[in-house]
Amino acid sequence: MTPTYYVRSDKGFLSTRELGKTVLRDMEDRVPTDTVAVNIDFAGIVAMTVSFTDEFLGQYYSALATHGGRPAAVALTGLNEDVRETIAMCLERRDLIALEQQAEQLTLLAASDVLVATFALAQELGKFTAMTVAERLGITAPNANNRLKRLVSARALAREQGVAERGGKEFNYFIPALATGSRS
Amino acid sequence: MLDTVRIQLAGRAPLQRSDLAPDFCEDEQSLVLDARYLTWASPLELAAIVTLAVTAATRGRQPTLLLPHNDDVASYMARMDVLEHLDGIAKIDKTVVTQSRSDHRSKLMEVTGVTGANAAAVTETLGAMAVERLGPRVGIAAFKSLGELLDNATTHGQSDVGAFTAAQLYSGATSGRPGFEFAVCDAGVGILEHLRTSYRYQDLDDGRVALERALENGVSGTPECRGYGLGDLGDAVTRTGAGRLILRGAGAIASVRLRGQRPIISRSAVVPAEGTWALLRVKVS
Repeated sequence: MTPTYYVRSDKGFLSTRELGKTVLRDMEDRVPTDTVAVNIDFAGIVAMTVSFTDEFLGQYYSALATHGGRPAAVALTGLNEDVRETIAMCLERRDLIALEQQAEQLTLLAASDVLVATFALAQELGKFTAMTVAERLGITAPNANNRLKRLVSARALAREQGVAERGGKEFNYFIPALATGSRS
Repeated sequence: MLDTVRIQLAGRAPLQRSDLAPDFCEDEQSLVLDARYLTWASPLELAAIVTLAVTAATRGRQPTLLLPHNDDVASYMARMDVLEHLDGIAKIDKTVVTQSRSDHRSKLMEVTGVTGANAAAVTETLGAMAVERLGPRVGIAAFKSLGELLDNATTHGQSDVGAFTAAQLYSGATSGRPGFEFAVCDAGVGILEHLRTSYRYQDLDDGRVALERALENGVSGTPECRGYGLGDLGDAVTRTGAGRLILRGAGAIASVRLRGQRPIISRSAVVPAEGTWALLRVKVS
């Protein structure tokens, strides 16, 4: 079961950098370090300031992009239009992206058209290699690798090491399972 | 050493004008806040009076408040807890007869001390008020703006005095201008000194320019990926219609009309105060 961290407040309004840091620390304390996937739920949050969001999610996704390892998948859920817009604004400024899950639908936030197209293909393919993406999109292998690397850094895509047809190593990519489950 | 002894607050919302002229003399022992001819007090006057008095008292000076001759304005100042904050630290020239206090939590926030510990809670209360009275679109924009102002006041504007905030929703029946006004005053280092901590602005020496820079996106004295607070403020409110942001500090006053192209109008002003004062006004059509 995928743990879910619930972002909550009394009246639904979140602000200040200090609170952003506090919520980030709380999430890091509550979500097990060995968890494979995590959902961050914002249901009930009416609005967040840019400063709060930057200190919470901006810092979180920056750390994910810098370090490999777990969680392998992170999805944001329960976003209303304004919260989505604020998160996208913060991520764009840091050149980061994130994955939003609404029921069964997965959407990238703050992503370029190129990454959106690559992710759409990923959902269609199921499990695939960078070479498959390169062939399907008519791009070079390095270009495909770069795009997939960005999606993995954002925890929108997962990968596992496999064996290439002619020997050697290659990665298999796939959309991680993000069913909601236990509360953190 | 010359220092301010008397600040006259006269007319309607005087702190929104650049011509506020304090008297100077060589007496550093007292500060007189002369509000006798004040005919309208916005949240900025209320928060600023408290901030000035508390700052003076903290610095070892004796503040005195001369209350408005206008009984309505004097009563309003009492209702908004100005006198409560000054109790014990300032001389007040007369007694105000206060009426029983009705619960107007959805329309106003009395002058409130804000620190890093309670800023998020105060902002949340104001956000709920704004959304309830202004509707989700305008209310959320107002919340985001005042949230950034309060965050700045309790971080960049941190001091031993603290910061003070006040807010008021106007139906327009008395003022003729329905809307929401929010103010926060701090006694911190001020915008000019804050920006100078960054190597990019270390040669900045003009308060007017400092205020204008602070209202641009991406400008900050901090090294991290910050500096979007005050720039966001204008963007958030602009998208919902019209409003105005007034920043006072560093020897200047800057006014940004939050509509369309957002021209920033700044003027030099004699500001007898430490820190930064901000007023956000959101119009309701």
